Amino acid sequence: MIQLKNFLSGRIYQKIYPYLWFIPLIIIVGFTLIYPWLWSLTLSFTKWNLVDGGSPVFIGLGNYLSVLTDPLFLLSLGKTFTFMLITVPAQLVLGLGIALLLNQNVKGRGFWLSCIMLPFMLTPSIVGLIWKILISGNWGVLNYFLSFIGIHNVGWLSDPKLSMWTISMIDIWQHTPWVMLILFAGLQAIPRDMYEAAEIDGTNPWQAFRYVTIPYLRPLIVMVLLFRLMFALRSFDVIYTLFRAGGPANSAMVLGVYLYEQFRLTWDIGKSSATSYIILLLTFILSVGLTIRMYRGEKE
Amino acid sequence: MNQSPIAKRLLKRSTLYSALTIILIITIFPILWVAITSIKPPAYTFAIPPKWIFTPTMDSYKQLFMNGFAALGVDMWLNLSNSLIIAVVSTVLTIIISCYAAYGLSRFKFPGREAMALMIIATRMLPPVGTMIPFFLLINSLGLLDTKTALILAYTALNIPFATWMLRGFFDEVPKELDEAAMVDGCTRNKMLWQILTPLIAPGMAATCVFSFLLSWNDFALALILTSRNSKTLPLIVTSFITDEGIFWGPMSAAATVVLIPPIVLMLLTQKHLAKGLTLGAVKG
Repeated sequence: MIQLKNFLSGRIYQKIYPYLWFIPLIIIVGFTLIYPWLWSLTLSFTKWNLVDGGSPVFIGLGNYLSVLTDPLFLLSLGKTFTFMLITVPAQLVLGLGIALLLNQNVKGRGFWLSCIMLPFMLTPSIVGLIWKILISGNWGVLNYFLSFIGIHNVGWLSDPKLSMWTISMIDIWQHTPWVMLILFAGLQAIPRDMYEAAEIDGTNPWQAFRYVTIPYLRPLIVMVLLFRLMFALRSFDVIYTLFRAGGPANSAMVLGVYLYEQFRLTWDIGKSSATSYIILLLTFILSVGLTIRMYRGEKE
Repeated sequence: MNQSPIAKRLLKRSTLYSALTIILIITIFPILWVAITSIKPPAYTFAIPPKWIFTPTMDSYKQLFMNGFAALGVDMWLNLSNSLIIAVVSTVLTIIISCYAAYGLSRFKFPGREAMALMIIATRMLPPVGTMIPFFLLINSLGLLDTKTALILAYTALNIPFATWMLRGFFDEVPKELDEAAMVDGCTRNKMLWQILTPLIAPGMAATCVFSFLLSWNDFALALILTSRNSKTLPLIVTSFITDEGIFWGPMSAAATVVLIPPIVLMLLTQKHLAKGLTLGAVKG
């Protein structure tokens, strides 16, 4: 009998053994990420304010309706899309351009590469601060340089018409190196003989780029594009450090800033949870393709 | 042909290097400028045209570390130690937990394995800004607001998915036969994982550690909502120098320079492995 029991538990043990390796992950991720997200989901259907106290009252889709009809939310949604439309294409074009330059026969490539890639890993709130120092007031050094070419007193931080360009400029500075590094790795992986074959066929450099480089890079470009869109959607640190709110006349009010300001000013957990879920849904739309791609890539 | 091939080549080379130099200046100048501002005598900070030649002074650093700015809620030593403790502890936890899970994903076939892989990638995509409210709920209900534990928990949870994914890639590169050989020799899987496998993938682990460390070190949004005084981290306090009465530019740029040192050093050290980690979207928090 005892042998049978050992035999059985041995078999059961065999079956559950692989799962044991995931216990710590499941505990931490489940308790710290998934559980609060689900809690927040249930609260998004209730009215609950931390200042008023009391307990959550079920109000169905009320929070979602009130967020989706909030003019400030719609404004920040528009600002976020504008921000994505300005920065992501610029980063792709510039990043590919720099990657192509570095892919030439460059002396000291390691040096160029490590210097040019610096910005993207810097602490984002410090990036906001660095640029604040560069562009503040009349004595910011950027305006000093611009005055040489006849442009005076640019109100980078004070002019509502400019703030979208200000945050875009900084984001392009910060994240183009990331795009460059990934596309550069992709360029390095293209087999040399593809170009040699193209040369034998009598192609010019542009045709080689169009018919060899681009098809090879396409999957990587799609991945970079999706990642950048997803990260542009969650922008917060740099913009908040620059403006400490939505900027002049809310001209730089992106979704992240909207969510934080809404929560900080109202302590309305229900409404803020609903906003979080709207942001999550937008992220999901952008990331579902990426998730499937990464999952498939790993399976192959 | 009025241009000799050599002249043409020379022109091409010089265009290439001038373009790279311009890009380099645009990239580096803002970073250098903040470092320069931190060692300028206060009188020169706002000088226009900027003073390019001056006697460097460590006054701003002295002010920052010695005098402190208690009125602004800045205690440089406390904030620095908070940042370091939180980043190191959450990195260690992340690596231990992720190594187990990555090994499990890499070595076993079991029902639910695909679901597990998908869940790990999907949680990786969660936007940190969007996690502010759920984290606040959890940490508030545990009574852990403004503690280091709160941030350690949050960063560990956010780091695990990508670290697992990255480490799993490295484990996959080590042949399974090695495990079997070690087990024939009477080694338990656990012992083998830490004594045989992890040294083999040391460079990959180092890169994963760097990413985890930097996610914690660089975070602003979660620290903003989860801390108020005692467990404030460096990225937060730097903005404290911007007050209604004015901005303390010197100490602020000194603090900013201090915060930037680990990312720059770590990134240059692990440069080679960056591209691999990056394609996993590991960098941004």
